[in-house]
Amino acid sequence: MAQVAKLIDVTKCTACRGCQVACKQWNELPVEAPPKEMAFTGTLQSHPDLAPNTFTIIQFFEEKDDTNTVKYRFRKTGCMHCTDAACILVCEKKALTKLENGIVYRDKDKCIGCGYCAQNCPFQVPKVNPKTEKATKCTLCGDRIANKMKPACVTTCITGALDFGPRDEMLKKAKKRVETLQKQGVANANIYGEKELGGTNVIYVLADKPEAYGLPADPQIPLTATLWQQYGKPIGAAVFCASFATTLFAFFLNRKKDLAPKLHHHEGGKSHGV
Amino acid sequence: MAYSDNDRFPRFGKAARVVHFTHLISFFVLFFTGMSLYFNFLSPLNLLFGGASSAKLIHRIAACIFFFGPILGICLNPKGFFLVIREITHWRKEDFQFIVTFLHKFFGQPHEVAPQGYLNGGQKLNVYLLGFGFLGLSITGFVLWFPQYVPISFALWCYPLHSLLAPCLTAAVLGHGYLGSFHPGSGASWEAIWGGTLSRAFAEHHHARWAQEVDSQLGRTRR
Ligand code: HEM
Ligand code: SF4
Ligand code: SF4
Ligand code: SF4
Repeated sequence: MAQVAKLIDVTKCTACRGCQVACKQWNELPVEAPPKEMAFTGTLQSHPDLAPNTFTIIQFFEEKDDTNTVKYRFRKTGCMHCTDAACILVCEKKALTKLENGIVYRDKDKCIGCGYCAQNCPFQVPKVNPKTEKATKCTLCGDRIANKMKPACVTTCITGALDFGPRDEMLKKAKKRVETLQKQGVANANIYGEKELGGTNVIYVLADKPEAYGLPADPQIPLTATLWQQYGKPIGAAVFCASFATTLFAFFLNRKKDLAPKLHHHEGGKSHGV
Repeated sequence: MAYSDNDRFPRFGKAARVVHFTHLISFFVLFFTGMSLYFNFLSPLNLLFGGASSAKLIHRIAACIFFFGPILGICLNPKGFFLVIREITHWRKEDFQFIVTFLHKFFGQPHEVAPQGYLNGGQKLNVYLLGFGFLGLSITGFVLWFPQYVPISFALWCYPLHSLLAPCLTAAVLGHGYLGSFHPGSGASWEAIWGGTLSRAFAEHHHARWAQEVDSQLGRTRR
């Protein structure tokens, strides 16, 4: 199956948050426990972060400009469905896999909720539900895709900010959009996800540098994750096996030897302590 | 007091011995509950602990015993702890001589050793290895448990460190355990960590300088 992609064009998004609702509804995700304080926290963002039952949110980046008016930027966040996916590298339980169509799929039954993926994802996307002991994240609506439907969030999007289709088509569309934006004077317009992390299956059209939207400019699989999985583990296993084999060897070598200390009856001096 | 071949040499108090064995048990519980995360093919180990979820819980319970046990031990017997600290920070020529002949000892080959103190050179090194292993695994382990309370860049380093320290420390513990149990030469030191005292023969062989100190402290004069 050809690679698919979801295109998120932030320049068309109005932060209506229909996608948040559609995602909850399709995936049957209950509301998160409401915060204790319902008071205004200084942002229009609905939830502080992604959460075990919240696979996508519109994240807000608000700042005041020179004239003291608030400038809004917002971006629909969620799993990027990376090709070089850190979450897959660190999941020893093989609960995360890259499907042929590009989806980073999580097998609920294999996941034990260790949280390694949550910490090592360059975007901190997966969240572990402490009750179920499972990590969750956007599924790219794999179940809908398999039935020739578009993801729930895409279907519901009213402004055309979300689209879904073959990855090359989505890329072509994104490039055209960036060209248009630049012609209209949005000089910093760019595509995010074309090359990042091996090419992600969620692609953004951004109106400004990635950092302005809380995205790392050059996301990488953490060096520590590579050291851990590709070097640390085999080295640790080798050290353990070497020690086990040496000790076992010494055990059989020494077993019958009479090395027990005997009384000397002399003052100090050299002892051949074995 | 008269000197006797049957004299015992007091070495470890009750607190130290109880802590040593609870620490030992918690260590191996940690090892076996951690290993299924190290290599997925070791997952059947979880059956010993009632499944992946309870293995995870037991890893955390054992971690608390592993970490707070020795701290409690130090509080119960601070003098013993500072004695060990003083020993490991004072190195003599004979300590190095001991280390040079360590492999001979381990494989039961004949060798000469200068009289050793309360801790011999090898035991001093062992305290460093196990001590730093203990601290390293505990710190990184608690970070893996509560990653949300530390900067993410620090937490990320704790994963490979915890993962690497676990088998390396176990490797050291295997050698340590063998020397203190089945090794025909030094295995009798088991009596010290189990019962608290050493025989005269063993003390004079392995810790000649210390044995003399104990004899003179207790006024045990030779014939
Ligand atoms: C205070 C001490 C310790 C604490 C708090 C601790 C905690 C943890 C935590 C939270 C994890 C992550 C997996 C999970 O959620 O269950 C873990 C993994 C692990 N622990 Fe520990 N641990 C401690 C000591 C030890 C010791 C002494 C050993 C072995 C001798 C050990 C071996 C392991 C192994 C092998 C893993 C898996 C590493 C990997 O996935 O590569 N731990 N530990
Ligand atoms: S965004 Fe994070 S969770 Fe999603 S595929 Fe990439 S590394 Fe995995
Ligand atoms: S929490 Fe689940 S998916 Fe994430 S690394 Fe652990 S087992 Fe894998
Ligand atoms: S693709 Fe599906 S799971 Fe992912 S954010 Fe959209 S609706 Fe939610």
